[in-house]
Amino acid sequence: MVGRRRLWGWAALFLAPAVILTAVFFYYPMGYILWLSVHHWNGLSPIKSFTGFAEFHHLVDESIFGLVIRNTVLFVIGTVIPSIAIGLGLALLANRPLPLRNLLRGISFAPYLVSFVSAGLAWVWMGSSGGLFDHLLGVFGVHPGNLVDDPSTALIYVIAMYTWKMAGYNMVLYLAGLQTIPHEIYEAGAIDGLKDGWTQFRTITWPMLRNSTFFVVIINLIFSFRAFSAIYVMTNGGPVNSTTTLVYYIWNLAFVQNSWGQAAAASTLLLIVVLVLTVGMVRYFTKEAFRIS
Amino acid sequence: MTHRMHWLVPMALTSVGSLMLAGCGGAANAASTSAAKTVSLTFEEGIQSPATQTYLQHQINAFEKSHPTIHISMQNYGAADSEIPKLESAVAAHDPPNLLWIAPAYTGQFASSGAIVQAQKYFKNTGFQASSIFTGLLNTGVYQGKVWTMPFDANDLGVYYNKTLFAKAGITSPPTTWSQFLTDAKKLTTNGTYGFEMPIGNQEWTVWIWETLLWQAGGHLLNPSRTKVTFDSPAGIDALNYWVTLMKDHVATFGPLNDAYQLGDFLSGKVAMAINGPWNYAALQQQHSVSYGAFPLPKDKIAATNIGGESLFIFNTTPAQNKAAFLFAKYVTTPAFQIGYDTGSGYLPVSVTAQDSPQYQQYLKNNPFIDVFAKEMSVGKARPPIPAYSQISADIGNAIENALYNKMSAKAALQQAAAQAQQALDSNS
Repeated sequence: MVGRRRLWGWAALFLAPAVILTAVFFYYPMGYILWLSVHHWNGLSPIKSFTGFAEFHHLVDESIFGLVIRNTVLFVIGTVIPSIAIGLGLALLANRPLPLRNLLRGISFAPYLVSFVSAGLAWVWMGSSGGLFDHLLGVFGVHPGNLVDDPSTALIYVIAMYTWKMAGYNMVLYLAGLQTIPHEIYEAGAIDGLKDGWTQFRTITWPMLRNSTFFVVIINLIFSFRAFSAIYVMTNGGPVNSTTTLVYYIWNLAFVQNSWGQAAAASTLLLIVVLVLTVGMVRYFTKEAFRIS
Repeated sequence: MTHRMHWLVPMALTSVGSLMLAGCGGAANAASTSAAKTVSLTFEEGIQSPATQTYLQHQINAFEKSHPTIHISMQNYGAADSEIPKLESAVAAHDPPNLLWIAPAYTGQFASSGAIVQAQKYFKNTGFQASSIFTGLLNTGVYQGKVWTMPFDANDLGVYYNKTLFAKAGITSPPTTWSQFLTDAKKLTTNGTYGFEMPIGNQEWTVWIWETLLWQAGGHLLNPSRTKVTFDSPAGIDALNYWVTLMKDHVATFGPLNDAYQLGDFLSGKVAMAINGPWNYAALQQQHSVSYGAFPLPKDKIAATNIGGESLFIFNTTPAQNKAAFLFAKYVTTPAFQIGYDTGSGYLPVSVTAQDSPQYQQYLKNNPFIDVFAKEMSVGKARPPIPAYSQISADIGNAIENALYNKMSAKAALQQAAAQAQQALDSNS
């Protein structure tokens, strides 16, 4: 009994920092956002008036809300799928005994190490009229002009920049996954006649990367949903709100328009979407795991 | 007992740790108030020119000499657009600066929340004469009939023009009306050069400029009682359509997104005319690539410009700090401060006495560029310093972008924006 008490004491001591930090910086803000989403508040006033679900109604009534959702979906799909595909491709290449393998790994991962602010500014300059891309495409007779200032190209351009940044990160995750696949499986497969690269990838590599893919998909979904710096630096959500995603919109509602209730309502919406997607993914991958094994 | 103590050790350690953390804040607070006789003030400003900053520091030193119990430390916050979010966090954390230099359009927002002190409360017992300030400027800091923020410096908008390109196009005098402006913009547009730089982006810079056209066309942002948005009136539609025409006729090109106040396109000769303010005078004097001049914004039904400039916001801290902050705000309005500050920076005086002084009048004679902006002040109007202004501005910004990018007609864009702005106005009233 006494030993048990002592154990509890020590357990409390060691758990306290984690519990306190999580409670203060995670559960409290989350609860506060949920509470705020049913209140009207201008960010400064001591008065926060209860409005029920009015802030959600206002949010959905905003003329740009549909556009914001469309941009968010396009941004998430447009960044997650290509950056995972390119990351996997790079990992497969970098896993081979190529002569400049380390250089390839270094070059591919370097963009991830550059901050979004620096990378975003560099891409703005490269995409301006008379910039690098204008010159390069000019060789083929195409002059795209200013890619960032054009509502028809701005979102694609931001997606391209984001994908370029994240592909190297995904490569590292997949590379780690690839190196856990025992060589014997490929040898056994070869004996069974699995000799060409595509068949090997389809029947051995891809299924064995299931856990890596699970992690990569979840982490990329979360990163893409909450992407902010790239958009803030490159386009400020414009032109004509063509790059305003849900997270950027939340920032705009809170800090530019001082509609903290609406911003909290939008945050709640984002929380629900990400939660549903993550739970869905977890269930899907867990089921898959059972089905395959 | 011993065993109980064992159980208590970890808990005690945790408690001590928490107390130490809490103690950090307490210690800092104690330090800031320990020097009982000296009142220390923090003054946050976003002045860009190093020369102007140095001058301001000299002035602060002079103020401290005449007020030995007050000490002011100046901190530069960089770009004004990013200061507001930082400030909201500071107010929420009960750690605002004592004095803030920022556009008076934010007066209503801060006054309604109780974050700032009503400046008018100190007028009587400090002997401050409100009549020494231009009424229009003083009104930019009025919320619910009282003066909350104190004018620091003033400016307005005019048109910069490239004299060489004007001469090449055979234009002998700057345009004074919208139609002349359009005709001249056409003449100035040649291969690689556009007549006019169109501000673009849905943020305040674009909106601030567009409001001048709304007023020139005879329109208003709100009705006189400030209960209804009216910028979607026929005048508003005319104002936005005028910009659409400049773009459709290919005599204007977009400036950098939300950054059209930058001088790059004007100094490179890409555009012959750009709307801007007097604050770039020092930078313009230092460059040698463009022969520049300024003229008043062209008029439609009436002449109008948008009064800008910054005011001092006194954040509510201790009574001693609030009063000391007001004394500095009062000092700023004295002719001695204003004349020195304005002749060095290109800003315009907020004080009638400073404006009329022989020194300043001589300065205007010698600097006709600044004289254009000084004279325009007589037709200046100001943005309403109401709490909902930021939201209304964001809605107008969206309407301007929708029309200029041909996503919607000017009328439809303004009507949609007006409906949303009305909602914002209603929920903040």
